[in-house]
Amino acid sequence: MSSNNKVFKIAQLLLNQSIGENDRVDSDKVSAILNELRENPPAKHIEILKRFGFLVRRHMSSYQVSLEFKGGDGSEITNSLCKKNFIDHHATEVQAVDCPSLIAGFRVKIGDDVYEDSIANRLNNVRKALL
Amino acid sequence: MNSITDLIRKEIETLSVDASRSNVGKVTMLADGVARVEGLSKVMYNEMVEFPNDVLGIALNLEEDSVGCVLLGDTSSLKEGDEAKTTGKLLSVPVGMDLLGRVVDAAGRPIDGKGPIEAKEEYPVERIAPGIIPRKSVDQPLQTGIMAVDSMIPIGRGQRELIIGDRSTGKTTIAIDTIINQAKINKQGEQSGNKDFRPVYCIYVAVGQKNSNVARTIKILEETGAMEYVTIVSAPAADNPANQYLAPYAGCAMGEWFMENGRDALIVYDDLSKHAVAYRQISLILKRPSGREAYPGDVFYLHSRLLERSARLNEDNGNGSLTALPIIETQMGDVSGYIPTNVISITDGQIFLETDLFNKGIRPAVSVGLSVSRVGSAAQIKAYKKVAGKVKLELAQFRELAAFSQFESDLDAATKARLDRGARIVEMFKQTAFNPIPVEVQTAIMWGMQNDFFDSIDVDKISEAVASLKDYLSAQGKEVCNEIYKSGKLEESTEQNLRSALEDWKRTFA
Repeated sequence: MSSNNKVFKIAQLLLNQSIGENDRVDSDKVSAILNELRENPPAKHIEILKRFGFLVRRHMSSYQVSLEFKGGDGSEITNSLCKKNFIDHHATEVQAVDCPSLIAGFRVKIGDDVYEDSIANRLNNVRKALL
Repeated sequence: MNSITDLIRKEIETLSVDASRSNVGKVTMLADGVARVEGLSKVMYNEMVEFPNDVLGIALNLEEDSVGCVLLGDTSSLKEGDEAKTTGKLLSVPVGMDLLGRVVDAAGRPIDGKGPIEAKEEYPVERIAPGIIPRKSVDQPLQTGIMAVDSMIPIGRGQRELIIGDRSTGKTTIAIDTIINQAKINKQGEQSGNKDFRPVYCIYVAVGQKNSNVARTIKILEETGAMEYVTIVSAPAADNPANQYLAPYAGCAMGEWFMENGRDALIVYDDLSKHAVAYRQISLILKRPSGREAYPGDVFYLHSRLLERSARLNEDNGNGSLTALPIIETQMGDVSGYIPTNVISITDGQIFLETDLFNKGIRPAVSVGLSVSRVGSAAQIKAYKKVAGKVKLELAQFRELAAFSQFESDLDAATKARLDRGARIVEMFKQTAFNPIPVEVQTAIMWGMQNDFFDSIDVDKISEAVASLKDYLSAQGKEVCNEIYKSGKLEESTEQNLRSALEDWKRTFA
């Protein structure tokens, strides 16, 4: 097995150890793992930490929904998106932020996927079409 | 004013107002025209990726935790942490007749200051080459207008013929001559009103060249009136390696449009050595494993997938063709280098240009021994085949005998005759740049050589005699040339007319 593969495998094991109930990353478990790594640093310590950080970020993004909106109420928009089964309220954590740069409308980010229906996006499309 | 607002209104009406969905990532590294992006989990191979400030990239490396993108255009405004998003599209370039007479970059954007290109269609730059079924064998000639090439290394429509040689041996000149000759033939064909006439449109792809060289090429094409049949795709040395890597594929897509629409096209890749270097640069920055001479393992595929797209299609598929003239620069005449051997094995023959011949004043400096056309002779017109059949052999024998005769003081009559004939043929093949000769005139000159009309002329006056005969044939001897042009054959009556025309010329020349 190449050294890179070993790093990937160890980082994956650490991620598995960090996951608590509801398939979410448990901050206490992550702190415990980091303490352990600090006290007994393994070979390729930094590479393992970088990879572990990446895996944790990726896992968290799968259940953390970022909602940017302008106009209306954030919780109302969240509820309406949940009603339309766009967001699973139980499986995700929704963070709603008021975002004036959208002018009006909303932008939902789930993992790498972005859904957007805003005036700013439409104006950008017009700009691109006319260039 | 009203028309402008109408245009804007029309554009806005066609826009989709639905919620958009995209897959995004964050730039984690930027270097030498390549970005590494974290995220973009749903990106496809070769998909266009959009960066801020309308910078586009292409996803080339799909890894477990990141995506390697080559960037097109000005990347100076990008920074770490910028958002990149998928577009769901492959890189496409405009294609069609509107591109003729224009100079474009690797993405098909005009760079000649002649305004926007109103192309109705777009083709993706990366396409699968035609398979076996739609193809047919090469059976129509593509005249270069260069006697040494058309007689000994004939090229057919749909063929891939490599032009290879050291720097400054006349590689680009052969390609430009061929383009100029196509323009001349096109104009002649259009004037004749022949409905069966098929013009050849040309695409010249300049990769990694100096801007001054590209400008000179454009000037030559404009001065010779060839530009109206040519599209130039330019990715100069100052351009980023991604554009240099993409330019040949973009040019090929433009050529494919002609082929798939039942037309004939010629594409010149000038040159593929620099293309391979640009690809090596991208691959090394993308941290792909390197092999021989630090080229990545797929450098053969890089050129094979490009050159395989040149083909001759059969009648069921429109009967179009795309002929390719790739150019490779060798180092110290070494044809056994990595990239030269790769491209030699892919193409249907090569025109090898020698520095020694060039320095001796034999131009075009075509090496008869190392040059070959594997399929082109099937496309040579009958009249030409009849007069040029033995020339290659005679010239090869001459070169061999000339080497030996240096050590021999007493030569027999037959050897002397062969040496004499060879020297005359070498002189006959000398041709100035950007001055292609029509095939019927070439046939007449070759016929004159084969029928001893040049034997009484001093060897050092052969070039002068050929020039004089050329002038004679385009004036007084026009009728006999037209006869050869129309029939494509050398009938007995044509030969008689040719003999009397050449006898007449000989009297005036003497």
